[in-house]
Amino acid sequence: MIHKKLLIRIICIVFFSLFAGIVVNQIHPHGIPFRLLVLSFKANSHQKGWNPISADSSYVYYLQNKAYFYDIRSQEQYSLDHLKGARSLPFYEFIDHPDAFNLPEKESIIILYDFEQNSTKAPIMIQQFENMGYQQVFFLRNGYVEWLEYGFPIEKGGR
Amino acid sequence: MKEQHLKWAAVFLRFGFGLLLIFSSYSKIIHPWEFSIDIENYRIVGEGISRLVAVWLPYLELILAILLITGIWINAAVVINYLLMQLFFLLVLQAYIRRLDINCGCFNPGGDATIGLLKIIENILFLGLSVVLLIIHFKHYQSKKII
Repeated sequence: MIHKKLLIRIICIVFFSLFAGIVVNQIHPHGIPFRLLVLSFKANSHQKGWNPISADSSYVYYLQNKAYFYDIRSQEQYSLDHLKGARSLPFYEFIDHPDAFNLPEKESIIILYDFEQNSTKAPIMIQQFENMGYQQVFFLRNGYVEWLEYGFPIEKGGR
Repeated sequence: MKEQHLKWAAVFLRFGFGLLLIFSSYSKIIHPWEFSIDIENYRIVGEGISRLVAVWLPYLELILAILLITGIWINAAVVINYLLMQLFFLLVLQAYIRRLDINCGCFNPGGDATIGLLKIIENILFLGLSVVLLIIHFKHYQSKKII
């Protein structure tokens, strides 16, 4: 009898915490919204679309003007300085409202970058792009910091 | 006298785990995306499950902490606490054996701390204490207090 009661309470705690998590994440400014939670089950593993690219290979795309560069840091960080010609695509704003941004055609080559390597935000951004139908989304492997180390062109200000 | 000591030991452990779980859940609640990547880095589940866990686990920890501290549904809370500590230990252990250079996601999602021997020892300690709490609670203390 006690075991049954115990089991029911454990199940209640598990389900209530799941419910609380889903609800709070809906209103959490940096939460995982239910829409993306469902999408992540539908989509394949991000490993498929996880395309890291080195700074020098990115620079080739840059010189050939073949790729769109997007800075996924905050607007403030972007304004300080960024890769020359890159556009700002702040992570949380993009995740919350992906359709609010003026993005290029689906066939375009897109290169995202964060400041440092091993960005936790990049795989999520890439998946979101893939869900929107983009096929060639890359991520600057060692981040903006490597771009700076190589002395590749940057610019300040802008939005 | 012994009963009294055991009772206080159980209360102490309940409060200890409660505070630990509040501390652990806080950063996960603030940074759910980073936490989901930390889970994914264990390479056990895919991104769907890892995001679901990132949504669910911090709140399970928080609710568990509240139950442990207040004593509401304490039997269930003590059992879940033990299962959770066992799960954390197994996850960290397998990552260590597989030499995964990842952040454990325990207290600082998206941080730089990697899984080493110290983390294993820490998890053994937490698992051991959760077993002690389980035993004290069910064998000694709980017999005098019906849920």
